[in-house]
Order: sequence, then structure tokens, then C-alpha cells
Amino acid sequence: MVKKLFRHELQAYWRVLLPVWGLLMGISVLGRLIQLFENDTVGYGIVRTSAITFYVVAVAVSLLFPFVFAIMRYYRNLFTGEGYLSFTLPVTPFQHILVKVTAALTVQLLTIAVCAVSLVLITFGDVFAELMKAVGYLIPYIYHQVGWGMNLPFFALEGLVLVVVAYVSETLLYYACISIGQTSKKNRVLAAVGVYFGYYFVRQVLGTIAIIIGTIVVWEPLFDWVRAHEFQATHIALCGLTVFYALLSVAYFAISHTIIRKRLNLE
Amino acid sequence: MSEILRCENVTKTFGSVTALNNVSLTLESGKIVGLLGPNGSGKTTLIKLINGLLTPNFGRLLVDGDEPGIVTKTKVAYLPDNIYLNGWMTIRQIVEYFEDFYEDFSPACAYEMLDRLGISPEKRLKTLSKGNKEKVCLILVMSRRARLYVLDEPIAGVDPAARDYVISTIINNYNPEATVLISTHLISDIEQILDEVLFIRNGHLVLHKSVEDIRAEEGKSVDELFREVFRW
Repeated sequence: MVKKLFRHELQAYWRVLLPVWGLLMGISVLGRLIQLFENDTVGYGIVRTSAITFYVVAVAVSLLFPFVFAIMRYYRNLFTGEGYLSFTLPVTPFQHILVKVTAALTVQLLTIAVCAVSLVLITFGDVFAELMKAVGYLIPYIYHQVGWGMNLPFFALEGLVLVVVAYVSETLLYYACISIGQTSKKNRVLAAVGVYFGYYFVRQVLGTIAIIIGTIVVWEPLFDWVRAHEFQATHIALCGLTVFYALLSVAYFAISHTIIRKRLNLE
Repeated sequence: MSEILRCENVTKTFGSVTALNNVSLTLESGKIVGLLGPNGSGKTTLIKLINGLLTPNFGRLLVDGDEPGIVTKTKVAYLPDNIYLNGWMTIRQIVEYFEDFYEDFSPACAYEMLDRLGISPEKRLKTLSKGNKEKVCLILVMSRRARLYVLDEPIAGVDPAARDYVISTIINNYNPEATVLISTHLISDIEQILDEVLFIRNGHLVLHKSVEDIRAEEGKSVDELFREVFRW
């Protein structure tokens, strides 16, 4: 059932994402074609700058769009009229949430890949060769400067895992806010937004309090230790944050799951 | 005949409002049952409980011996009182969706009914009229070989000709071994197909009787009895 649900979920994404991706590719190709007419005139300068700006905006929108769509889809597919179908399928609430978050992550990763391809397209030729040369120079430079030697790929992997887990956590946070918001009798979207900002405020306050306590109690000794063990400290920070976001993800997932199971309130 | 639905002292409250109050009933297989009551009487709440869209505060509800969940969802075909399908999907995509998730769904049956109505499977749902959207929803539900069909207001808001279509679709396509639970307040239109009726008022089950018994014992039609029971 999960496979089927996942397939249908992706189908819903393709409908809106394929045109967005196509548009991004089109803008990339157009940007590259404009470079073929390179000259020193002011007119060309304006066109080239506009094309690059347009491309940057298109990349930003393309990267943001799947996230926004994932949030909208969670709400519409589960808590509006569509929920009558979703929740009468022989599928558990756990499977629904799991598929929603997995599809959101998959689509976000694919969008990043599409953006990378678009970068290749817009820089195709000499510019791309120069770009690769710069990357080829930059990586050994980082190896040398940071002094982490062959551990850099491992750090990069830890960083990547952290980004993925943080993305999942953030998506599940929005899902949890929407789930809490739908328990409201009216203005459910507004209630969800209120829950999000309320939680954000509490999180900021708690974070500030933790930093103040940390500064008073353990900050200096901690700094000394970090300076002496830079290598291990970075590992601990990356892994610690990953575990922290993973725990938050579990909590957000549990909130949504409990509400769907016990407090479903369809329109 | 086997028991398909059992409610034991089922109570559902929403804040201070009691939508269903201590409802107990059993339904047997192979019957067409009318769930009758005025607006706000608790019909839709009971239907949502049967479908696992709500959970009771008190009491127990069993569908074919199981509490609402994955197992019962494979046995219950539910028609909500609103258009619940994705408007952007073509009808073929929706049929495939049902085929994927419900093992008892017959696409051939669905396509045949759509063909009779002259609705192209390639059309997107959002391009259809409201009446045709409702018919498509009904066709999909009735194309399942379910053990229990739960139809929430299937004839509300449709013209008399469409009502006839809906009723004939129900009669001609339901699994004869199954039970059909139809919620409505348009009693005269469906009275002729009902075997039993449930009268529900302010969350209380006030009557559960066979139509035959009502006619024999009360000397009235269901519609007449309903008007008498629910007179303001």
C-alpha cells in the first residue's frame, strides 16, 4: 500500500513540478543562447544581467516551490474534502504521513538535481569548464586550509545527513502545525499559522535561555575544550544536531499521527 | 444472515455538543437500511464513526466484527455528502486510483456505467457538471463489491431524474450479500427500496424497524411515520 500511495503522491507532484522544471530549463537554455551574442554594447549588458537575474530568481522559486507544495498538499489531501477519500483508503495514518514526508523529500532532492542540470546548461561550454576548474582548485584548497585531510568527505557526509534530517524535521513541523490547526472549529489555516508562530516564539525563548545558562555555567570551559579538540567538536556538533533534529522529527510525527488518529475533524 | 454492523452504547461529543448519545444497534447483511433524521440529528456523525473518520468518546462500534481500521476500510464503500475526489484528475486516473487501493473494485463495472451515462473517462473531473460529478462518485462507490455500503445523502440536491438514476444505480449494482446504509431526509424517494429504517433524533436512536413492520403495525408509510415522529 505504501508503494501505491507513494506512486500516486508523486503523480500529484509531477503535475505541478514538471512545468516548473521545464520552465527553469527553458530559462537556462535561453540564458546560454544570449551568451552566444556577447558584445560590449550597453544593450547586451542589460539583456545579459536581466537573464542572469531571471535565472537566479527562477532557481530560488524552483527550490522553494516543492516545499510550499508539500505543505499545501498535506493540508488539502488530508484535511479538506479530499480527506474523505484519503482516510477511507485501507491505509494507516502512519503510512499517510510517512509517504507525504518521503515524497516531499524525494521531490526536493530531485529539484536540487534539476537546478544543478540547469546550471550546467546555462554555463555550458567555456564558462562551465572554468567553473569546474575553480571547483577543482577549491577542494584541495579547503583540504589544505582546514587541515582535516582525508576526513573532509566524512564531514561533508555528516553535513549532508544533517541537512536532510533538518529538512524532514522542518516539513514535519509544518505538518504538525497544520494537524493541530485543523482541530480548530473555524479558521483552521489561521490557527495552523498561529500554532507555528507560537511554537517558533517559544523555541526562540528557550534557545535564548539555554544560551544564557550555557554562558554562565559551562561556556568558557566548553570553548577551551572545543579549541583543544576542534576535530571531535565538529563531529559532535554535526552528529548532535542531527540527533536533535531527528528527535524533533519523531515528536512532530507523533503529534500529527495522534491528531489524525484521535482528533480528525474534516471539513 | 450475518451481522455487519454493531454499535454498543456509542456516544460522540464535540465539546459541549452531544452528536450521538448512547446509540446501540445491529445491522444484518443483505439489507437496504435507511438512516433517517432531520438535519443535525447525528446521521453524518454515525456514518463518519463507521468509516473511522471519527472515534467514539464512549462505547464500541464493530464492522463485520472489527473496530474501524484498515481491515474494515477494505469492506466499507463510503459515499460522502460532498465531492471528495481530486478535480484535476481524469476519470480514468480516478478509476485507476480506486483499482489500486480497493481489491473489490471492478473497473469494468465502472467504465460500463460511465459509458451508459456518456461520460468520457478522459475528462477531468473538474470539467463535469455538479450532477455528473456526484454520479461519478456514486459509480465509483457502487463498483466495489463491498460488505457494507454507506451512502451519505446520495439524493440530496439532485433533480428528480437524477434521483431515479442514483436509486437505480444503487439497486442494480450493490452486492446482494451486502448491506446498504443510506442516509437521507428525502424519504418518499427511497422508501420503496428500503428493508429497514433507523430514525435518529438529537443523537438518539428513536426507532429501528423493518419497513414491513411499520406498514403492518402502524398502517403508515415510512414517510408518514417520519413526519409524525419528527413533527415540530
